[in-house]
Amino acid sequence: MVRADYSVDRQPDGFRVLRIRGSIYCIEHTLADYFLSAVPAGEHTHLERLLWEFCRIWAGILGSLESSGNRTLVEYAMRGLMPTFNQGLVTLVHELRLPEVTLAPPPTSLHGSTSAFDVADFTAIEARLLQCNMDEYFRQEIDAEMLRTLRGGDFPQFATSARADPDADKKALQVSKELLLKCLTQEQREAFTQQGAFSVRTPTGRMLRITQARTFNVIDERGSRFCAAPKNATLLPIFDIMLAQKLTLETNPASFFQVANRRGTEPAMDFCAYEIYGREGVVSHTAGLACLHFGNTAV
Amino acid sequence: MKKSLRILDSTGDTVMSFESEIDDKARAEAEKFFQTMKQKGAAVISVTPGTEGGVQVRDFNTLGEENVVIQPIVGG
Repeated sequence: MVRADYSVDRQPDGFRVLRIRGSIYCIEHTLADYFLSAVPAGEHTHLERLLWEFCRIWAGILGSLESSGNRTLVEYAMRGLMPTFNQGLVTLVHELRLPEVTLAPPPTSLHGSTSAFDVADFTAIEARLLQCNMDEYFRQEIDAEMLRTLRGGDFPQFATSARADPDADKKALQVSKELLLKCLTQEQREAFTQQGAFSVRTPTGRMLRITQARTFNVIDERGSRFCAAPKNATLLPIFDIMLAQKLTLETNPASFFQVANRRGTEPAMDFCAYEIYGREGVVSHTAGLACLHFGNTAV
Repeated sequence: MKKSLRILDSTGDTVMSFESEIDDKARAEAEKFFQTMKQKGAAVISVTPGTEGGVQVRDFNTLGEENVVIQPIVGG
């Protein structure tokens, strides 16, 4: 089995970042290892929290898969990986010694009926997954989709935009940061440089703050958080996402708010397939895609 | 006038530039790309560096000098 690499860093803003790089196939096992080794024996409350986090992470992974627009991969995750995921949960649940646990399956499909998908050979997909790490996989798939679009229109100059350079992430981040800075006003640029966030004004005068995070990073004056981003956001450097949000809010905020998910004033939990953010100690349920039931209580 | 379309992608952005009054081939190519992206629901926003806001571009002929192409916004 290919083993995923993971690390936990604490960010200056207090967020804990769990980075996972590796095959999606073993993520749940790796996380289970991590959770179980990170929690002292007997601290079940803490372990429960981690278990909940585990569910949320899985929900985040599925959400990221969904937003990637890769239906084949979504289908694979839903049907091919769910049993493995459940086994990972069972391992954790066993450690918790909970008497009654029912694993509730996620929605049949993120896009409706699973029959909408035509995946003939999971083995082939799995083999591909095991040969590349997940973010590479996403990138290759999405770039390929974009390239197909572009090639369909005879735009060969884009044919070389596929990522082969190992420093591509750093370069992309730098490129996107330069573009964002270029598009910011002086005031926004100063705020961004000093605080990593800036404010935008919609055409109707509503003020919103865009922070440097991948999800739920648009905050209104009352503290509500909104999450909406370009369809290809899982592949975009974070500054591209911030730029897209800025331009959308300043020109056509309706298109943002019509689709944005909203949260109250609770701290944000940010998910991404390979960068998962979580504020330590926060325990709250999520309207995620995977649900875990303890007795009659849905977590 | 030189115009550019910046497509936000995994490399940061990919730029498609063309001289609107000189290079007919590049212009046609850019227009084809513009129409393709619009059909896919992408937003094209004309920006002026350093200023607030931008202008939604619906017609290829009204592109500004700098334009950012954003794929459809979806809930996260």
